[in-house]
Amino acid sequence: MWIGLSLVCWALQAQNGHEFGLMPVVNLNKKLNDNYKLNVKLETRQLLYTQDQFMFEQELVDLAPVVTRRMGVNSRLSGGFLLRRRDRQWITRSIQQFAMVQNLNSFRLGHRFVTDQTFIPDAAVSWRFRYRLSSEFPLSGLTLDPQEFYLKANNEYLYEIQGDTRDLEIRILVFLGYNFANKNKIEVGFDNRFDTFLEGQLESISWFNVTYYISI
Amino acid sequence: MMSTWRYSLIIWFVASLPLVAQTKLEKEYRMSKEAVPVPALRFVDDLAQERKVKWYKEQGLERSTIEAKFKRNKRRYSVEFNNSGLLEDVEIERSYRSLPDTLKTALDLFFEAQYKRHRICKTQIQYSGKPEIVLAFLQQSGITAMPRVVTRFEIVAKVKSDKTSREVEFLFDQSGRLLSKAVIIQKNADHLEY
Repeated sequence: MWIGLSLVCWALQAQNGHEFGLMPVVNLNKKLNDNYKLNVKLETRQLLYTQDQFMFEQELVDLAPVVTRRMGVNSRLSGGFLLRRRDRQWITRSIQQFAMVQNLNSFRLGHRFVTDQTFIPDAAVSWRFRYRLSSEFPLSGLTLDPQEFYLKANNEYLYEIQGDTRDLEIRILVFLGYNFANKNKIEVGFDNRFDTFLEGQLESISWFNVTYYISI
Repeated sequence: MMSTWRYSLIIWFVASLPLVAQTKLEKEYRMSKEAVPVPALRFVDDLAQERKVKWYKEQGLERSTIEAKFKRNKRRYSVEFNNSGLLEDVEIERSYRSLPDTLKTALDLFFEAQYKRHRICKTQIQYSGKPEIVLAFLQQSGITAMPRVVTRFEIVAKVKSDKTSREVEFLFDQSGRLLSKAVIIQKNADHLEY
C-alpha cells in the first residue's frame, strides 16, 4: 500500500491532467454447488470531466461472467471472459484469477492475482498481470455482521504488455460499504487509477463508484 | 441494438435497489465500559490491571453475552460473561507448540486419524470455574493447573477430509479427548474476491 501511495504522490507532481467519471456496478453471485459459483459483473462508465472541461460522455459498458471453483477454505480459482462495448466496437477479454482471503483479528485481507488477455479489433493482444490487496475494516465490532457498515481499501498493480509497449497502472480505491442481512452489500467510494507509469506522460482518472453485490 | 445509455440506466437502477427493509440477525458490536455489569467490570479490572480493554456485546438469536478483550503479558485475553456479568470463561491465545508434549501428541494423533490434511490456525487455553478461583489462578505466575479450575483447549484448524476443506473449532480436555466441534461458517467475501 505504502509503495503504491509513494509512487502515486510522485506521479501526481508530474501528471498530465486528471479525469473524473461515474461507475455504477452490479456484481451478481450465484452458488452452483458446494464447490462452484458463478459471478457476473455488469459495469458502465460515464466520463464527466476531462481535459479541463465538463462533459457527459458514455464511455463503455462491460459484462463479465466468471466461474469460480473453491480450492480451499478461503481460496478460489476463477476463469471467465469480459464483453465490452466501447466506441461502437465489441472488445473481448479472457480472465484467469486466483483469490484468497485471510481472516485476521479485527479485519480481513483479500489477495487477488489475475492474468487477462484483451482482444481489440485491429490491435495487438493486450496481456495484463495484476495483483490486488484488499482490506475490509468493520466499523462496529471485530467482524463484519449483517446490518453493519465497513470501510474497504484496495491497492492494485497492473503490468501490461501490448505489442512493443509496456505499462504499469496503479489503482487505489477507498469505499464505504454496508452489509445487508441477506449477505448483499453496497459500496460507495472512489476508484482512482494512475497509468502510463513506464512510458509517456502519466494519466489519472477517478471514478465515483457505486457497487451492489448480490448473492442469490 | 440497445444504446450504451440504456444499459447505463439499467445498471444505475439495479445498483440502487438494496435500499429496502432487512430483517435482524445475530451480531457483535462494541459496548461502552459504563454499560458493563459491575461483576464483569471488577473481574477484568483485577485481571487486566490498567491495560486497554475493549468491550463487546454478542447479540444472538436466543441469548447475548459480554466479552472483554485485552493483552496481558504479550498474550491476547478474551473473557466472556453472561448478561448479568457472571464469568463464563477466560480464553488465552497461545502457540500450538507451547502446549504440553503429551497433549500435543494426543492432538496430532487425533487429527492424523480423522483427516487427510490439517493445519492449526489458532490455539486458545480456556479456563472456567468460580470467578474468584479463576482470578486467583490467573494472577499467579508459574502455575499451570489448579483444582476447581476447569482447563480446556480450543483449537481452530483447517481440515480436509475426502474432497471437502473446512475450518473447524475443536474443544479438547487436558488429556486430548474431544469434547465438541463446530464447523466455522465462512463469511461472504465476494467484495474481496471480485
